[in-house]
This record gives sequence, C-alpha cells and structure tokens, in this order.
Amino acid sequence: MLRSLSLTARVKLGLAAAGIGLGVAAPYIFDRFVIGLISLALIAGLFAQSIDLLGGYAGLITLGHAGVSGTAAYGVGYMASKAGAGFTAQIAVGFLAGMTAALIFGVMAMRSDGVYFIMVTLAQGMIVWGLSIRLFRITGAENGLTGIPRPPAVELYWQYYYLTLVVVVLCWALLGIVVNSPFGTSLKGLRESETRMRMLGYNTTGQKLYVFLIAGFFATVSGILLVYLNGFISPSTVILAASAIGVLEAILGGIGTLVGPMIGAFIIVFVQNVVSIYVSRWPTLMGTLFIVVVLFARRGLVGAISDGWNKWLHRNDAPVSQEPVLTSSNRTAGP
Amino acid sequence: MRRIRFVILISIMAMVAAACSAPDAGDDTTTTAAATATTSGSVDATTTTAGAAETTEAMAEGCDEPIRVGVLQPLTGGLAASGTDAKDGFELYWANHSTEIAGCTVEFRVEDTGGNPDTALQKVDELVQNYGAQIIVGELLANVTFALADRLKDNEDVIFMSPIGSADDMTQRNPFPNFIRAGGWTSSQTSHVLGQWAFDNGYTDVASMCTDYAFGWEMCGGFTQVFTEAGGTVAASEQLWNPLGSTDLGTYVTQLSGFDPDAVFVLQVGASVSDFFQNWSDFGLKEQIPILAGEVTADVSNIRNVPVDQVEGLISSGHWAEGRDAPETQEFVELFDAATGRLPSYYAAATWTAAQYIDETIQAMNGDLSDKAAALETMKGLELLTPFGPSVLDDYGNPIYDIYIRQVVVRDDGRVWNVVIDTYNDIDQFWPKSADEYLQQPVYSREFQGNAGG
Amino acid sequence: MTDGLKSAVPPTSEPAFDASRSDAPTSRWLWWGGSIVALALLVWWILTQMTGTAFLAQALNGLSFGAVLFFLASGFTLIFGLMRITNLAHGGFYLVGGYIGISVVRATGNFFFAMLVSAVSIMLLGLVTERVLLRPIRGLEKPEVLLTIGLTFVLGDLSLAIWGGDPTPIPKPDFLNGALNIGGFIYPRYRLFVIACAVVVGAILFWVEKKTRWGAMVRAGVDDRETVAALGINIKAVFTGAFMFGAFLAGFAGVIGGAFLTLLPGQDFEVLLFALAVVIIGGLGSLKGAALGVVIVGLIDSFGKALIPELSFFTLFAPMAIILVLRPRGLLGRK
Repeated sequence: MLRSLSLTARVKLGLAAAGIGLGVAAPYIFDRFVIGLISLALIAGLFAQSIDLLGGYAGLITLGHAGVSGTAAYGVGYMASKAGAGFTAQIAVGFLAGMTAALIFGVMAMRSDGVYFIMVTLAQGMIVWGLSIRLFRITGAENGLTGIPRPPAVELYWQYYYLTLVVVVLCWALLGIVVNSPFGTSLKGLRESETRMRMLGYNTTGQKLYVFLIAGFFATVSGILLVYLNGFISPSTVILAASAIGVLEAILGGIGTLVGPMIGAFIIVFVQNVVSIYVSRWPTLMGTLFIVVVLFARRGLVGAISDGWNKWLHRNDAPVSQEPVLTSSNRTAGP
Repeated sequence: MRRIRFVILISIMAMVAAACSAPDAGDDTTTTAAATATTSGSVDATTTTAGAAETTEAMAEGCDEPIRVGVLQPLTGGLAASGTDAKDGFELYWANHSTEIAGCTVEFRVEDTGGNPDTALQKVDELVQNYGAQIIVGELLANVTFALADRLKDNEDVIFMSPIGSADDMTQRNPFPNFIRAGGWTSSQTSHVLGQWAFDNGYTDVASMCTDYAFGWEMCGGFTQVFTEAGGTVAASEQLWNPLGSTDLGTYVTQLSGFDPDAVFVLQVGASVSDFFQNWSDFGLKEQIPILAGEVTADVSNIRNVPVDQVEGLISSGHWAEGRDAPETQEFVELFDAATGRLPSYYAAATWTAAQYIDETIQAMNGDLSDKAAALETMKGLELLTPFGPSVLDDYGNPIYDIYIRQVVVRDDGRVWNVVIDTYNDIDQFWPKSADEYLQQPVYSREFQGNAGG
Repeated sequence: MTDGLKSAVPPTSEPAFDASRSDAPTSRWLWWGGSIVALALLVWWILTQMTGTAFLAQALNGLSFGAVLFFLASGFTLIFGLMRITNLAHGGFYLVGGYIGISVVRATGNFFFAMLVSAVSIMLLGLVTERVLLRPIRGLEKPEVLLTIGLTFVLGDLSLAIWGGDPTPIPKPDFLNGALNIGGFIYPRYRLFVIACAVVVGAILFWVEKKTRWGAMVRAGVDDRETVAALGINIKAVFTGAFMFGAFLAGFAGVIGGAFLTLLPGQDFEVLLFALAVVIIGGLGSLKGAALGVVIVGLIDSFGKALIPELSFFTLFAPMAIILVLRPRGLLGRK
C-alpha cells in the first residue's frame, strides 16, 4: 500500500508518524515545564486551526475568535469556581456557552465579507471582553476565576497532556474530514469568489454560518482544554490580542493548511515563553519574524518548506511552473 | 489515497490511546514495572531538584545548592515601566548586599510575563521546576497574582511573596497557605487612613472617581467606608467608575465638576493618571476642587512625566513616601536614583523590601529553608526597618506599617516627589476595625463601598 | 465616491452583496428622515438627563476626542480606499510619531515644530514601509495584515526600548493650557484647538479631493485602478504618495493626541481600534464616511460614558456591530 504513494506522501506520513511518536514519548523525555508548553501549544494550535478553517479555507478572517473559545472557558470556569458543579455539568455548560456564542456571532457576521467580516468579528470579540470585565459575579472581572480543578483522571500534568494530545489529534482528523468533504470544497469556492458561488446556486450566507459554527466548535474545544490546563481564566484570555495571535499563528505557519497553524502556534508559544527568557526584546523579534515570513515565505513556513521540497524533488527536471497557491498537495490533512 | 491517509491516522491515534493508558495505569497499584518506573522517573524528576537537595542537607550548616529566587514581572507591554522598576529594586538590593548568607548563596532570576497570566503560569513552572526556585516573588497585576497563587498554593516547596499585587482577599477572606505579602500591602489599607484624614481635616462631602475594577473598588471602598463612618458623605450617585484603560477622561471630569464637592477621591492607574490631571487642569478645576489621591495615582512612576504644575501640592496617602525624611528611606532613594536616574516608585521599594525579607529570613533560618512552613513563620516574626519604615507582619501575612499622608512637592532638581505631611502609626489592613469585625463584611466591590450614608 | 455616480437599483434585503446601495429617492428620504427623527429623540432624551451646559461640554468632549481620531482615520481610509491595504501599522505610526514629538519638544520646547518633525519623520517611515515592505506583496490581503501587525509589534517594542514605558503626555504650549471662559461656559483651550485643527485639515482634504489634479487622480484610483494605469498615470507613484500622506497624518495625530491622551506602550493598538471603529461605521474608503464616523464615535463615546457608565464597554462596539449588521458596508460605504 505504501508503495503506491508518491515520495511526498510517504515523507508526510513519515513526519506524521514521527510527530505522533514524539508526542506520545514526550513525557518520558521532557520535564514538566516543556510538557506544559507543548500542551499549551497544542491547544493554541487547535485554536489557530479553527481560525484557519474560517480564514484559510473560507477566506473569512476573524479577529474575535477568542470571544468564542473564551466564552466556553468562562462557562467551565463559572460552573467550577462559582456554581461548584460537577465536571459533566462544567463541560456541558462550557460547550453550550461556546456554541451559543458561535451561533450568535455567526448570524451577525454571515452577511459580511472581507475586511467587514474582520471588523464585525473584532467588535464581537470586544463585546465578549467587555462582558468579561463587567459581569463581575459571573466572570470575576479583571481578577478572573481561580480554583478550576481538572477532573481527577487527568489531574497530573502528564495525564492532562495526553488528554490534550488525543483531543487535538482527534479534532485535527475531524478538521481534515471537513476540509476534504464536498462542503470543504465549496468553502474554497466561497473564498475564491462569493458571487460565482451564489450564481451557482449556493446559499453562501448559510454556508458562512455553518462554517462559523464548525469553527466555533473547535474553538470551544480549545477553550475548554485551556481553562483546565491553566485552572484559571481572566479577561486576558479573550482580549483582542488573543484572537489576533491565533490569526498570526495560522498565517505564519501557512494559511489554508492544517499543519501550518499548528507549526505557527508552536513557534509563537515558544517565542513567548522560552525565547523571552533569554531575549528581552522578544516582541521585536516576533514582529521581525512576521515581516520576514511575509516577505520571503509568502505562503507561510509550510508553503516555503513545500516549495523547497518540490524544488529539490524536481532538481533534475526542466524548470516547471510553480504550483498554484493552496493546491491539494500542499494542504496536508494528516498531522 | 486520502482514505489510506485517514486509516493510518486513525491507527496512529489508537496507538496514542494505548500509550496514554500505560502511564495512567502506572499510578494504580497493579501494572507493569516498566511503566511505573518510567512514570515515576518523569514525574519525580521535577520534584527532586527542589526537594531532595534540601532534605538531605537540612542538618548541615550552609548548603551545597544555592537558594534560588524567581521574580516574575511584566517587562514588556503596557506595564513595562512599573515592572522594570520592580526588577531594578530587587536587583539593586542584591547589588548592595552580599548574596552569601549563612554559608548559602542566593541566586535569582527575573522573568518577563508581559502582564499575561498564561505566560506567567508557564514561567512559574519553569522557575520552580527547572530553575529550582524556592521563593517566587510575584507580579504586580492582581489577575496574574491570583493565577500564580492558585498554581502555587499546593506546592509546599515554594514560598510565594507578593510585594506589589495587593488584592485585599488574598490576606483576608481567602488566604493562600504559602502566600505572604512581605513588603506588600492591601489595596484598602492606605485609603482607610486617607478617609480618616479627610474627615479630620474638614472635608464633609466628597465625590470619587475610580477605575472600574477590583483594585479601584477596594481603594475607593477603603476611603469611602472610613470617611463616611467618621461622619462624612459620599453620595453613591457621585461615585464615578471609569473602565480600566479608558481613553479620554474628559467626560468624567466634566461630570465631577457638576457635583461641586468639597474634594474628589481619585484612583487612576497607568496612562489614565496623566490623562486625569491633564483634564483636571485644562478644565480649570485644579484651583477649585482639591484632589485626594489613592496611593498609586500619586506614585512617582505615574506623575514623573506629568507637567509639574498639574500635580504640585497633590495630597495622597501611602505606605511609600520617597520624600520621607528618614535614613532608611533616603539611603535607598539615593542608591536607586544613582543606579537608574529615576526616583524610586513603590514598585521598586516593594521588591527591595521583599529582598530584604528574604535576606533576613535566610539569616534567621541559618540558611536552611527546607521547612517552608517554618520559614514562613520566621518571616512573619521578623521586625524590620525597611525603606517604608518599620515593618512587621500580621497573622495573615500582611504588613503593619506607618501610613503616610503625602504631598507632592518639587525638589531642587526640578523633579517631583511625595513628602510626608502626617503619619498614622502601626496601621494594619483592618484599621480602624478589628480583624474579626472587619472580616464580617464582604470585600469591597462596586456594590459594596461600606458607605455609612447608604 | 461622487454622489452623482450612484445607480438606481431597487432596495433589496441583502445590501451586503449588492453592486451598489439602494439609493432610490424614496428610500433615501426615508433613510434620512428616519435618522433625523431618531437623532432628535435621542438628543431630547439626553437633554432630560443633563443640563444644557453639561450637554454642550459633553458634546465638545466627544467631538475633540473624535477630532484626534479624524487625523488617523482619514489617512487610514485613504490608504484603504486607494490601495485596499488594511494598514494596521497606523497605530504604531501614531505612537512613534508621538514619541518623536516628545523628544523634539523636550529638545526645542516648540510644540508646533515637533508636530512638523513628527509628521515628516513618520511620512518617511511610511515611504520606507510602502516601498520596501509592502510593495513586494501588493494586493495580497492577508500577508499585508500580518506584515503591518508585525511592524506594529516592532515599532511598539522599540519605542519601549528607546523612550521607556512611563505614561508620558506631550507638554503643550502655554497658550493652549487651561480653560477658556466664554460667557460663563468654561472649556479647555486645547480641546477647542484640536477641534479647529480637525476642521481645517478636513476642509483642506475635501478641497484637495474635489478640486485638484491630485484629488482627481486619487478619486479615479479609488474607482478603477486599472483604467488609471492605462491612462498613463503612474499609479505606483500615486500609491506611494497616498501612503506617505496617510503616514504624515498619523505622525501629526501622534503629537496632537499625545498632548491629550498620554502616550504609553499599547496605546498604538488602542487608537487603532478606535480609528477602525470610525472607518467601519463611516464606511471604508470614504473621506466623508471618516468625518461622519469620528462625529458618531466621539459622541457615542462621550455620552455613553456619561449616561450609561455600566455599559461603557459596549457603547462603542455594540453600535459598531449593529451598524455592520444593518449596513455591512458602513453608513457611507460603497461596494
């Protein structure tokens, strides 16, 4: 079976297997700090992937996505810290809160596109942030909510890491199914030309709402994972910067791919938490990284790597035209 | 081909599931030896650095391992200036005192949180697990302090000191076990005193304008409760709350001028401080209505760039007064000024004092901090003369200080600082009530300002 | 952009996707008539809540804050209208402009000279940004967003390194300090000065747009870039010129705003957010829209804070979201 695959596909499979293998082995290799970071990066990666489903596949860049994941996280936080409910209720309320936010946001935003979509979602994100500060009894305002324990089965950091790994890989696979389904293909049509899609008889408004809900689901999962990872939630989780960082991670890694946002998330989490120990001007470093990537690897790191790989693969061929942006071969569905 | 990819993906996930169950089971009593061994290896490795070294050396004089202190402050982003002051204060102490104490070496590392609790939680793990910090000196933001205290509360190998983060309940209704506020304060502690002073000095009708978050509620509540219980009036309708980080406070200043009060209690932070004074003087109110400022609003870090005429004469209360005429204060002020070219803010004084507490505690414990509970008790028992003045800690781990009524004056070199015009001695966080009586009431909030007038 | 060019397409339920907005005379009358009635009711309600003097003061507060935003928003909207670049570095330009202003005021003591130096420096920064960074990625919306955010990080962090992070207002000239007493009505001189500046600059901008060759080129460029290029006008030079001019205004805004709103790290994103709200509410790419937007945003901000302080987080973003839902292209936006 493997032999029938192209070299590229085999390399990808190999990398995916290595990635998963490393993921499984990580707690036996790394200490608690690194495992915590990897958990955080996996969650950030899932969040960026869900942004990428909107931004990279459907062409709808959102700057309010942390509003969705944050609402879910607050749902869990409220039930745990203020209502003292059990874990099932916590997670159920978290899902309910996140999906309700996604539904409301989606209905509000579904008629916009382009920059206007960015702005509607930005306003939505700001409203959630405003609520998180204002609704003191529910959210604890600026101080946030503390005392959100993990379920006993995943209490230890490495247990929680494995849970995160499984959930993220599962979501990744689900996202892979979504983007490769007919619905996923129609999203690309939406990205290329909404007018053409409507002429073809697609209900583009409904399509946008569906994709918003699907993306909202994955954002909700990431929000719930995050609140249990930190045991804490405060307005900093829903500020504009949180949404923006998600978008940046997706673009940095390679928008329109699923592996790109994950790579982007790992890099940014690493810069924020590790590089910042050694480099005091790390925001400058991060900003420069964005600029360099945009200028020299326009399709993100994954695009650059894929270009380089193709060049190497065809190094003996006559020069071939570059493959068009975001064809199926540079959009990996697997990890 | 897509299907193949997916099949393989699923099977790999099955492997993951299998792999997870192994270490999971390792915690139960009955499993393979291999899994147990590896698991404990990976989990315990983290605690050995902090735990084993101390327990084995506990009896010996001095120590092989240095005593490590981790400091977390925002060094980038909007709070970078305050965070840098805090960092400088801490570093300055150790630049002027030996790091060899009772045969032990003190090492420390300052890390940047960017003011973000998520980052702070990662960094504190790094400091505790990898660096082996036994003492964490905490952040200046309340939400980050809460997050850190929650993360560290079950860790018996770490003392969490919060010289700046001042949320009332951390040493009142919801204390954290290994949390101590040496060098710190509670938000309402200093404004209680200002409420009494304001009443004693003839003000009867005061309006307020405070930032709309926990710190603002506590500062403002402290003033309002003591002032109104003494007999003054603060009408609830004349208490304005502006959101944290509001741009342009002109609207609020216009409203305040309409209330026509005897004085206005003001608590602003960050850029809103200079925004407020700018508006206050532009609207021509500086000569008409006196301002009584909460500690941070008059802190030198917030007023040093404000045009001098806008803040000259400003009255505030505080546990810190850089212009206080006492050798223990002026020695520090001169050192800090010489090293950084700035007059020290309370952030700098706080971390210096925290360092002083660490130094004295290690001396008193003769270099052995292995028993953190004992170390905490020792720290609580210290009576120190700090840049703040004399400092002892109450049962809740919060300092009892002299609180100063301060006034902004211009120094000979043209810079402004706060000098002491009145002193209230030995003020604890509950003053003027007893702890028992005080703790009956809820923590100050927008709804509960302790307003005796109703 | 010229009102005469509007086609009479019947109103539809989905203005988002219409090639042009419904501007049939009847619906236009309904629109304006309804707005005026609603506005009158609103003013009447506000006047029941406060005295006439307070009303005037609050209105001026809002307008003076809006005036600062006007300098930012007009440049932002010009750049967007012409080049379709969402220049998120505009806030960074503002902040650096303000800090340069502080240094110049401290060195020379001259506020107006500082204004000039800042505006020109930021104009040069704009030149470099456009030529070196943005030109290679012309027309690629997402990379442009990433690059301009990256630039904002770098500018903000370097400002922190150079000027420190203490909140710093720019000292004003003496004659602009304090209040003016006009028949018992006391109002700050500086705020009146800022409003006057905005009116003058706005008038100049409108005049340039309508009456000069430059304005004609820009108007033509906004409407149809290809034709302009075909007509032999160097559209690249027009782009560079517009970008530099937008940056010039941002630098100018930095000094005017810095003497008013205080400079602090993070202020770059703050003012950017307000400027975005302005152009989104008014309609992207339209100078008139920006002018209308600053009035609306300024007044909403000021009266919102005074009348419904509990909701002051929403007074800006909730109307913005509502306007975008009802009119996805903003009040005066064109498709």
